[in-house]
Amino acid sequence: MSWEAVFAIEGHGGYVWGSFGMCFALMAAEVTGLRRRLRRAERGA
Amino acid sequence: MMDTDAAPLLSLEPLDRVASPARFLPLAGRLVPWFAGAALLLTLVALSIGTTMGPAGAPAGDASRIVFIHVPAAWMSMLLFIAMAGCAALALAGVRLPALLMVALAPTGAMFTIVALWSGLLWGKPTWGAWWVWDARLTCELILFCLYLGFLALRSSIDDRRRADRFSAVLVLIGVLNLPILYLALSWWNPSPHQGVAASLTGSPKMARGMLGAILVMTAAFWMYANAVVLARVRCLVLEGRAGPGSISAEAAA
Repeated sequence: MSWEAVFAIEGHGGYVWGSFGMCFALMAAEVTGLRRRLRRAERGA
Repeated sequence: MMDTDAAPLLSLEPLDRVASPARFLPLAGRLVPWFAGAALLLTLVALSIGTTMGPAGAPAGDASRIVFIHVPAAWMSMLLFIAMAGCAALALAGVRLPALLMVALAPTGAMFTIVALWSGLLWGKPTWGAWWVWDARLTCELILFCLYLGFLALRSSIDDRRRADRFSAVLVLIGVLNLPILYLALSWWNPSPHQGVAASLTGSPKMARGMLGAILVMTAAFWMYANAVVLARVRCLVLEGRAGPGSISAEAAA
């Protein structure tokens, strides 16, 4: 089975990876922003 | 003449002392890495179950894998708003920490609502043939997103923290009325293109055990993630409050 077939998921790849990707991208953005904010707050405290 | 100095029947002062931001800060610092680790571990387990077991017999075929994200995100969007409503009730009663928790919960709740709406769009196109339909459940989820945004906008528009706490708590307590409608929308407005409930506490599950297992593990992962992020945000809010007079920490120390 090729990687192309794995990612295509019978033509639903765009939908499946789009929802998984958006979810984990938003989580990563939230964590990154929060870590930065926490570091700044700890320096300022 | 009435005795105005009489102690109230139910005092929240002991709870306020125990749950003061000053005491909560070190505890939150210790808990965050544990919650974050559990979230990472559970996400890996859920993803491995979801990708290896697959949607056996699901009518939508491989597009059904979207539910591994969509259902837990939708549950979390509702659960976090319920948690906000509980905090709002305590904040109106004068306890300080719940007001902070309410503020810390909102961005994460809004994020899960975006994920639920976005994955819902991507689920709708291959299964219903439309990105969006003005179905009761979808519309209530959109209203929930507007409530999260309204909460954040209201807080940022009021400078006085106590007034911001009061007004935003009232908004949350009114907004929580949307949740029973969101939950019961499928039985009130039938037929709906939206699939039935994934799992209920009373009935048997209507999907394959493997899929339901992956959904439940992913929900646990999201719950651990939310705990870690919310506690970290509370730490931020308390630390940032140290900057000026009348701050949260100064009040906590008083």
